[in-house]
Amino acid sequence: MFNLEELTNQFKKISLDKNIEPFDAAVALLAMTSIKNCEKEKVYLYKIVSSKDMTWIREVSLQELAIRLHAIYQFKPSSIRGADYAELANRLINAETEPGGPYRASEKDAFTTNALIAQLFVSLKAPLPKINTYLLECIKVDPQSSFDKFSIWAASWPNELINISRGYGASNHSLHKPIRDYAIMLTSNQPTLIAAEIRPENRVVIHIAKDIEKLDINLKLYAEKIFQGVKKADKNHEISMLSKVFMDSLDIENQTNDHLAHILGVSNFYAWIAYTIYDDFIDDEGNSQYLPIANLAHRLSLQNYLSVVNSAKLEEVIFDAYYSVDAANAWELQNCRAQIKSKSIYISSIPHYGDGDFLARRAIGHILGPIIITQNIDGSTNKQKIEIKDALKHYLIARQINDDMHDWLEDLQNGHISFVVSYLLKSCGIKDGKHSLKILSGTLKTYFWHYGIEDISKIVITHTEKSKEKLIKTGIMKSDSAFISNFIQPIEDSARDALLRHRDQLEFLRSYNST
Amino acid sequence: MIETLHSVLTDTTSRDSKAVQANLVEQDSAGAPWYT
Repeated sequence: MFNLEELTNQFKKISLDKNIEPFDAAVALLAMTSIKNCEKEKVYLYKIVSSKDMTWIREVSLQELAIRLHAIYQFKPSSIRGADYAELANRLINAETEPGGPYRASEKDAFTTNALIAQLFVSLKAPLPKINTYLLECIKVDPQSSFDKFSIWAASWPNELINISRGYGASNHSLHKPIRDYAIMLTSNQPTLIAAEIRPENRVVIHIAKDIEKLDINLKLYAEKIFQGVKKADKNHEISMLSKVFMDSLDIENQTNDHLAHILGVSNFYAWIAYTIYDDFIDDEGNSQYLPIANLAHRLSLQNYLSVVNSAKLEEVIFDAYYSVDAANAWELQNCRAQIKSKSIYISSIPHYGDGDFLARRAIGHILGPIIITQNIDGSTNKQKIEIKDALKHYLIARQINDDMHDWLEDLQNGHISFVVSYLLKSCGIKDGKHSLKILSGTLKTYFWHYGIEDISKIVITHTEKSKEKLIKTGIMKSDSAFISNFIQPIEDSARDALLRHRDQLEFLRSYNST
Repeated sequence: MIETLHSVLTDTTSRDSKAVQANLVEQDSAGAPWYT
């Protein structure tokens, strides 16, 4: 009997077989999903499974189709395009015994085929429960089943589709396919769920948690709740570590100042706590229980910022930033609200967001740390400082529009005319006045799908590109900096993803055989 | 798109091309899946 390491090594070795067939390559790739340090083997198998083009989707058996798509999805989901999913739909509909399955295959292959299809859809997070019922029926009808080991594996890896022991009914005879025997052995030692990596908390988050611990008991309850909320929003450390990453990304010697970066991180985190609560009030969703926390957090944010600056000029920069946020919020309240009453929306005027500068002013507090760091750079010119601030504003605008793109329907239904809602209203030629919310939503949704996703994603990309270009052009920021790759690039990737997905959807629509 | 694929497989009323397009439009407005 092998231990896991020996087994993995053996498995890796036979995976590189020159004559391996695509079906078995898919089995191997799927079995390796959570095995680390086998990138070479995975890439080799992936190439065989995906083949040069995806025409095989129309030609292979349903079970081969399911396992190959599943293996590809686990390894590189973006390589399955809209047309491929449409072809999958066409093939499954043609083979269905009823909507949602099970699907027809030869008697010998029916169980395995359906199990492999069900596995694919569980991984796609769109399960087909009728197949599970069918699999259970098969087991009941044939309790002394002669299901081979592979069939049982198909129903239990990587998801336990039905309550069935992996040893159930299966003989220990070899499958005459060593790769499948190894896949079964290998996965029998693996848990069906891959545990998420636990990331250690950073110093800023620990600092805030300790502060909250010291609070009066009446403050502590709501402080803890909002702290957890902001911590969740800080999942890529864009709040707590923005200043630290910005500082480390500068192409200047002797600029590292851990204390400064830490305090700027703490200040930003407190500002996020304060403005998360204030924003709820601005959106008429405020809970007064949180108000004392907002005031406290706002004060602590300001206090921390002021503690690390030593000039009246920098103090002015800080107060100007806060003023900018307040003025922008006031503008939003006066210009970007529509009344919602009895399923109708009353639009008094559609706000003009122009080039999006308003969005930057409203969120400028978020980049206050990097602005302070820039002001402190010895020997940098005023032009460079202005260019950096300008670049950071483009980052803020891109970030906000990308978020608005996700929330626009909810914003409309709450009477909040965000950048994206304003764009849609104008693009659809909607006039001021009373509108049925249902009809208006339908009109805007259709426009959004046909044109909005493309247009708005491109606006986001324009801002991220300008932000990166301006930062690099100053000569102060490294082109391969973590600031760009951690905070600006993900926004751009998200917008490019939206474009890609939308084009995939159009492809799906074109390739899908309407019935 | 996966939601649309699931709908056409499980619900026969979602299968004509107009219903597929309506489904895609609805999904994108309901909260874009690209947002994380």
